[in-house]
Amino acid sequence: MRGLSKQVSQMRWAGRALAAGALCLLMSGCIGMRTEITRERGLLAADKAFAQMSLDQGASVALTAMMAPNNSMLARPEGEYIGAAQAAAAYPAPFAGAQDVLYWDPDRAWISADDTLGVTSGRFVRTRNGIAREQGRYVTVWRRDEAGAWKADLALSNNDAPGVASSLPLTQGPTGPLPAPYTWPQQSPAPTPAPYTWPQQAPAPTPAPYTWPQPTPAPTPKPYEFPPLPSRR
Amino acid sequence: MGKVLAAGVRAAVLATALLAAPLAGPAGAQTGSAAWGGAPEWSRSLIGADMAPPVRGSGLSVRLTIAPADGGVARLIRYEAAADGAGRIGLLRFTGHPRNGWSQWGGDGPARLAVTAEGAGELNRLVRAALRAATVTNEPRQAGPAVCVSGALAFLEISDGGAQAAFERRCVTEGPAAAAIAAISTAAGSQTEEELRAAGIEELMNADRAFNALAQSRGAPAAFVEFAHDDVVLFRQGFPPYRGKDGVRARFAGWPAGAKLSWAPEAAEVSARGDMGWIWGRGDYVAPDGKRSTSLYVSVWRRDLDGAWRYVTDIGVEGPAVAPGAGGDLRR
Repeated sequence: MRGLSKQVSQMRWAGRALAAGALCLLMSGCIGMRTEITRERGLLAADKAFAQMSLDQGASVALTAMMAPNNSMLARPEGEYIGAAQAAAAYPAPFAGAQDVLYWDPDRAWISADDTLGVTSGRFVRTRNGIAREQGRYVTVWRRDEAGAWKADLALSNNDAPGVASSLPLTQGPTGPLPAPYTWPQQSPAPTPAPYTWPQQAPAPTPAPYTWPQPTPAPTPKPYEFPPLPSRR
Repeated sequence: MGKVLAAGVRAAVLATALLAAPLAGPAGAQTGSAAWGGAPEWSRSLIGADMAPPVRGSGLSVRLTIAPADGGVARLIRYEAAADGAGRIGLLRFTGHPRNGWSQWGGDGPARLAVTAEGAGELNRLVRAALRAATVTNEPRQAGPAVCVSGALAFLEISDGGAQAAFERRCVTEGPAAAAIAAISTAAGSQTEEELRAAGIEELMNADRAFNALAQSRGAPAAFVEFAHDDVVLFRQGFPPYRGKDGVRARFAGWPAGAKLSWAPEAAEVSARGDMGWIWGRGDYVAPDGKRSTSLYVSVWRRDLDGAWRYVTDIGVEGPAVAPGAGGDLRR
């Protein structure tokens, strides 16, 4: 009886040990899951912060801050832009106050186990005066710089097929409405010019009526003089 | 969600292996052989990651566990002489410090390296000399000073037919065992963090080249499915993203017969732990009617459970042909 009790006790301990082991394995898996999700969220937040900067300060400012200074590459159909300065130049500052907006919204991230390399993907839209000029999906590859900040090494995008409706709000930014569409500055109306009057010119002298040149009369032919008739002798 | 679950399962498997390792110990400890003996304390966590201990009683088989005393890159190197005269190396790499612990670099599976017949001949000679020294001239199992500033901690296990030997060495540069350790360590490479990073980039670019080679031999549709990670998202101009391997098949469902897609990597980068990397390169598409177009592509890769590189995303930009290298040096 004592032996049976001992066996049951051993089985109980074995069961507890197995349960503890399973719990340990599950917990280690769950902790791993949570850590990865947290790290992905951190990268997504960094990408969104640059998108907000683009909205607030312009794409060139955002790309200057976002792209790695020297060895990064922004690839577009027209060519490649190497370094942050070239990338920023690909999206020049709004001209003449026109409202050029480059905005993006990441919806996916991958991140390395050591949190040093990551990738985001999402949708982008480029508008002018509230009208989408370019839209599609992008992929950005990131790495941590020496200070621990995320910097983009590579950025590529694919445009949607023509006619695809944008899934990004074109009139609503992440923190509020986008600025109103650009309107040209109101200027004081220019004075209405007086109707054009042709300069008064001295009337051209009335030309004298044309007179046909008087043809010189043809010389009146002399009356034909018959040759004298031969004498009849 | 599938990726997260896979990561959880992977972590659990690793945890099991690491927990079980000190109990099981190396092959020598299991047998209690005086020649093999137990593994030194510093090597046990590294050896625990080796899923398959050396098989005793077969041909020449070596396991070298080597770690810098002051931290850096530790390696577990398996070397086996192949029947055709060549050799094979299986390599597990770790970063960390003997006191603080090691993190496995790259995938869970070993990197596999081929050794030429000439290299294998030299390795076999050195390893057998060390084995002979242990069994014939009683080369001591332990040698080297107690304190080592710049040297490595090394534990060498050799099995050749019925003979086995094990050596613990630190800062030893002379003697048969030290010569074998140095030769195996050099053949495996990845000795420093710089070499590790360069090896990771090279392995990733080789994976992309193998991907391209498969596309040439079996066609782009088959290659893109074969090299895809389970978690893949594929992008294509003018189309919604294709997700998963089924998405990749859908992407290539209308692939024109006779079309050729080839590419070559230009530059790559790998994360510090070697589990993720990216590549950019240039592609060339030739339609069945001979019309060509070029593209620039970026692919991002992760390791699968076997440690092999698989792409998780791929995106290309069609554009004008640009001479290789004209895009600037993105290799760092």
